[in-house]
Amino acid sequence: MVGREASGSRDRVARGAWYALVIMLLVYSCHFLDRAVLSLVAEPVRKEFGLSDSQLGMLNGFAFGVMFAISGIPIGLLVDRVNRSRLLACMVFLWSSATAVCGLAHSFIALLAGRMAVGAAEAGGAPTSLSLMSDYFPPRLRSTAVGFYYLGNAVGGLMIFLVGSRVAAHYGWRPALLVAAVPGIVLAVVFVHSAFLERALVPYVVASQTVPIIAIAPMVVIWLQAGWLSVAVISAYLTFFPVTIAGIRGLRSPDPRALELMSSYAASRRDVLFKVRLPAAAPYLFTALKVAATASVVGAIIGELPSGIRDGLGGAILNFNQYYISGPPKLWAAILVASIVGIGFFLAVSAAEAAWLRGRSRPVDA
Amino acid sequence: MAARALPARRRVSNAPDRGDAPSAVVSISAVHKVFSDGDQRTVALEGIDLDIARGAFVSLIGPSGCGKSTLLRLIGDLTQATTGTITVNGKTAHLARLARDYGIVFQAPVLFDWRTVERNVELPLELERLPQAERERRAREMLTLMELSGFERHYPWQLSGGMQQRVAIARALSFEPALLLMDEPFGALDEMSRERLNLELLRIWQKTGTTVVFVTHSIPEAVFLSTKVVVMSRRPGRIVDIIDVDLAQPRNDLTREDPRYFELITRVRETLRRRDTTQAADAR
Repeated sequence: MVGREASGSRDRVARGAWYALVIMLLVYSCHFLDRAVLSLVAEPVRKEFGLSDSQLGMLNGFAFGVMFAISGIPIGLLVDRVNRSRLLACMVFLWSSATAVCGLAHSFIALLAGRMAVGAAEAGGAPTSLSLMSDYFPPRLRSTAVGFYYLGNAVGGLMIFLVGSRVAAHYGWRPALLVAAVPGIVLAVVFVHSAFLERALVPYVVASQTVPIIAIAPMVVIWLQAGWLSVAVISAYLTFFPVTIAGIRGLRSPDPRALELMSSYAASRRDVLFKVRLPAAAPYLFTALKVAATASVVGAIIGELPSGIRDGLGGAILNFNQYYISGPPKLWAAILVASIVGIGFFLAVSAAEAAWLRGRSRPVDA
Repeated sequence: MAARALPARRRVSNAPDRGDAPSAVVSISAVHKVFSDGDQRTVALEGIDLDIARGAFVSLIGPSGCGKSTLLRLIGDLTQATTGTITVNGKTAHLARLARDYGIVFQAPVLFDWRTVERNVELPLELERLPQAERERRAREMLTLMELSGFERHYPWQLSGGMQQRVAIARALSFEPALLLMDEPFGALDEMSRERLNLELLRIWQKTGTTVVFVTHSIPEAVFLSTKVVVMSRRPGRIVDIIDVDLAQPRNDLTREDPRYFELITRVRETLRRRDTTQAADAR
């Protein structure tokens, strides 16, 4: 599907854009991997250092989340000012190295510092990539590109389950963290040498990625108890920002003269909202909802992991992962179902969009 | 309330009647408009006094930057005067806007692309909370008047620029405002469409009796359409002269060949030149 769309509008997609997108997808996979890998090895780490639950929570959530949030702002400013592809390369190198440092840590404090560094560097991942993507792809392909990019969550998850868990089981947590660091560092090197990724920018920085979902998920489960509500909240957390940002942009999108026209009719705020702003925002929202549709499935799966729900997809993936040696098809089946659900949601939103847009806008030339 | 006979279905307003004579719909006195941008102050309009009679067709013409659009926007309460007063139908411009006294047409049609042509025209009527059947009846009536029958269910992108602008005019007139404000409405159209729309606009103006304030930078267009041409000078914008256009009504293609038409065009042009030798407006 991706290939077909690319060939249909070669003139408008930047040269090498799809190649760059694949690299950014891989970077995002590492983003997920390095963010989540500590959860995988939480138990052995806790035993080795004799950590309390709150210390573990600190490592997993707080240290990461706080640094992620704090450094998001200066990095966001950097995104506007420096060469973004180099910035992305630096960041993936830094967070991967920080994960490796965690693997070598011999004290709680060292581990904590490592996690904070991972959080700080990862804040630069998504905004930089999304900014680059907005340059590479014409608006009508951006949702496809962003949706593809977010597959990085799934790929990163797969890497954890298929590689990380095995390494952790056989060689212990330290090698697991070290191995998790490798792909990011390799990517950083590829990146620096990639001419395609070096382009100037006008980023509409999508600040949607300031939420470290892996860090938040266990907290939500504790607050709300394990159950469908906590899963829904975690899933909503993952989808909230893209939709909100798109919504704000959409609501601000009407032509100023359209607003003056409404003002000349003495239209109430409510009328302006329902008759101008919301309809104008609809295309933006559909784009965001397409991203959210796939992200929500990932969110639900992540939400199930710490909540101990075993009859959901997340539980199934976790469960079948343990029996991968004896019955690999089960894990693959679970992953396949997760993908189908995600694609199903995506198609449902696309269908709704097509129905809404029917006749209203100029058909896109193929 | 005898003076409020035109146009027909006007809402009753509590505005004081302005006497027995056919009163001015718009009364502008001693208006100044200054734009401030930081410590940069630009005087856009200076000492504007202007009365616009009911049923008149008044064009504002002048070189770019003379503040003619600003004056139109002041009348329509889309911006506020720095000093001076503007009265519309005996109310302040602000109250007149709240009473839906204005129909506005911009240079771009500003149609809503998610609405059909008909629903675009119905928009102001929806805001007045008119019942569906009445809205539809009025929208169809206006579209017929603008010779757009058969396009009710089309979406804006399916129409040409001239047709889109006609939809915008139909929308502006659908709720029968006291005042039609047009800001270079045909400026983006080719000459043929422009001349055709000029004729249509005149026909509708005569039929509805609406008062029109029309901003243009085309001298022939101003003369052809107007009962009065207000000539303005460059920054700071002042009214240089108000020229009565005594061409016979109704005007048609023959008007464009009338010697008097050319005389008036020359007069407007010379007035513009006299006041502004640095940038004489081009008569095209």
